[in-house]
Amino acid sequence: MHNIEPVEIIIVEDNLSDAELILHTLKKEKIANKLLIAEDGAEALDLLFGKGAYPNKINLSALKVIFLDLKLPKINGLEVLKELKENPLTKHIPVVILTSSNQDPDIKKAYELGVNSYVVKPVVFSDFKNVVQKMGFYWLLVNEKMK
Amino acid sequence: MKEKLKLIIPDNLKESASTISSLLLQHGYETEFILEKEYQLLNDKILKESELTRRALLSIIEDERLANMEKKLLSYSIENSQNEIYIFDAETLKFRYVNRGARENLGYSMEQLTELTPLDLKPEFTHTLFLKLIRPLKNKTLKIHHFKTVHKRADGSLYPVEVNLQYYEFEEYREFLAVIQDITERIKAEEEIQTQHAYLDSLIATAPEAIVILDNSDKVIRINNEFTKIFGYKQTDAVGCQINDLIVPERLKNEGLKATLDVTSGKSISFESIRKNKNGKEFWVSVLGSPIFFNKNQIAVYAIYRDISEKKLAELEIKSLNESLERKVEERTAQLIAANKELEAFAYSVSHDLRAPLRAINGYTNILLEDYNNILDDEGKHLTSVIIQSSKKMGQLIDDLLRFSRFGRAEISLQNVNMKELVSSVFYELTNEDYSKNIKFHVSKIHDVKCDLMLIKQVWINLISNAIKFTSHKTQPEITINSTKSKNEIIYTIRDNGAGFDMQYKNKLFGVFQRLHSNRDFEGNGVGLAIVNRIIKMHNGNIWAESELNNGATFYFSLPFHVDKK
Repeated sequence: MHNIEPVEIIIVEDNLSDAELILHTLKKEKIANKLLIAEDGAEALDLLFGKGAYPNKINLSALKVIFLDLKLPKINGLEVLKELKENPLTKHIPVVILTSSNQDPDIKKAYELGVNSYVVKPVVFSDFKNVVQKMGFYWLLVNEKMK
Repeated sequence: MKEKLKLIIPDNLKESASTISSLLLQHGYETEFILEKEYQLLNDKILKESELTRRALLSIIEDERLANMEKKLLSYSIENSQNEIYIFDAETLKFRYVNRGARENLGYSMEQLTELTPLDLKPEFTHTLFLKLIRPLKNKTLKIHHFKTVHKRADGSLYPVEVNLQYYEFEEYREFLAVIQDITERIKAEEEIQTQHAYLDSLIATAPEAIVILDNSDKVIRINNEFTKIFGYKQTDAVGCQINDLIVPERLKNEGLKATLDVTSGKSISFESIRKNKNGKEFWVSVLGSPIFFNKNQIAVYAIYRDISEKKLAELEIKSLNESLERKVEERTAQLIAANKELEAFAYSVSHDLRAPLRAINGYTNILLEDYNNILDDEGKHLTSVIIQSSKKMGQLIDDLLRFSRFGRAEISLQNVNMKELVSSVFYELTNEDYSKNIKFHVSKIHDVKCDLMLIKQVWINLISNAIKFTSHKTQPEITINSTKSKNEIIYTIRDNGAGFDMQYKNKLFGVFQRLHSNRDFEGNGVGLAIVNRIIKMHNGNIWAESELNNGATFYFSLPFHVDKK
């Protein structure tokens, strides 16, 4: 199903409730139809480079944004970010860190690795909804991706 | 042919007439003497006699006068001699002459003494003993007898004397001459010297430190009791031995030689080293050495030793204690660093892991309330909104807790801070809301201080926002900020006329999550003052407060001039 339409958003999030809340919000805004969820860092990389359980490579040029959590099983968010930004095939894809952590070293490291945005997920849902809406709106509709 | 002279001669020179006439005969004159009283008519003729004759005559007269004078002088000297001079008869032993000095000292007159013998003055002698004493003088086997005894005065008191006794025979006289000295003073002086000696002697002997006296070639002259105790040598073992051979361990020979060389060349030395006793046992001593001078000449040297083994042991113990203390501090520091790392990891985990489920609770409940609003009755709607509020509140608590722990780990960076400017800008930032527009805010000319700008700004934010919060129910809120300078610190005060607090809970003011007011009256979570307290403590300052319920509160905090980094 997903493979028919080109994927525009990948959400890398191991916390399924967070993933669901993101999805819920994006759906309400009608911008969730071309979206994939990866539950850990390894799955995210497989998905992006067509490896392992995902032999069919997705169309990277159609990808508008990757929402990336930091605390992930197997391969953590910063490692995923590093690999993406070092690979010429993926380094142009906007990556937004969407995390619970507001620890200084994480933020610094993320920017050093070339992250495009760093957002802390608010606890209160009204704030959370606000952030996700704005992020989705900005990266999917406002931002011009590389052609 | 001889010329005949007629001479007048004074009566008292009658005896000299023959001498004069023989003298004149040598010059060619025969003399006829006329006694003075017969002298009448011949006056003119005598005056005409030759000059030579006159001179000879005068010289004879002068000699005679001098001889007389000498006799007088001799007896004067003897009489007034400071020595006591006694002359007594060899047979009867009775005094023939005793000079004035002796008479005065004894308290006898000459008349009394002519009836006394030396035995009456010398209580230490019996008659036999005295005869035995003078016999060798009398038979001339001995020229002079020199001895000491005592004299007894007329009043019975005694005094020590030194006697020089000799015997002479002159014409028909057989007499003893005793020249005697009262040696009371000399004995007193000698006793004084002996007393001094005794003091020094017992001082050296019983001194609590080992003392050795060496001659100029480092040979032992004397040691004291403590030396024997410490080193095991007796006086008889040690005397005449080289000090270095006795107590310096073989491997320290050079040090010992240098020390003795220094002292014998006139230097004073002081050092700590190892010495050995008679059995070869070694121990730590302190050594003090100095030369001894007499009349500017170095006559000997002395050395003082003290056994400092215990002190050295204590020093070593302290050293090892210090080392183990340092090791412990290092260990503890490492543990502390590890604990801090753990705490950081914990904080990270809390910030990440606790937020996610809270977000889920809050998010899903929100969705429930929005998307299923028409299915929920009023009670259901109320319950879901309580869940939403509670999870929101918990999120804030977690954020505050993290903020608090972050302040604890912050590094202080000191700079000069314009306090009045800081306070005013904080108040301005905090009073954008309408209700606080009518606050009477006074800041006097408060002192500046060196502190961490960002941290102290946080202090003012928390204190001023508290003051604003707790005066919000007042019709005329007032906040006053002051400072006073003392010797080492500046004390800042912030006073408000708000709700205040009960002083019996003042100990709970600065604890984390401690609240003295209900949320219904004043919102808050009990972290603000805990953060303030922590920041002030990081500056080595103090914070305290005074208040009366419903009658305002005053918070004080002090910042020292020089803050040691913790």
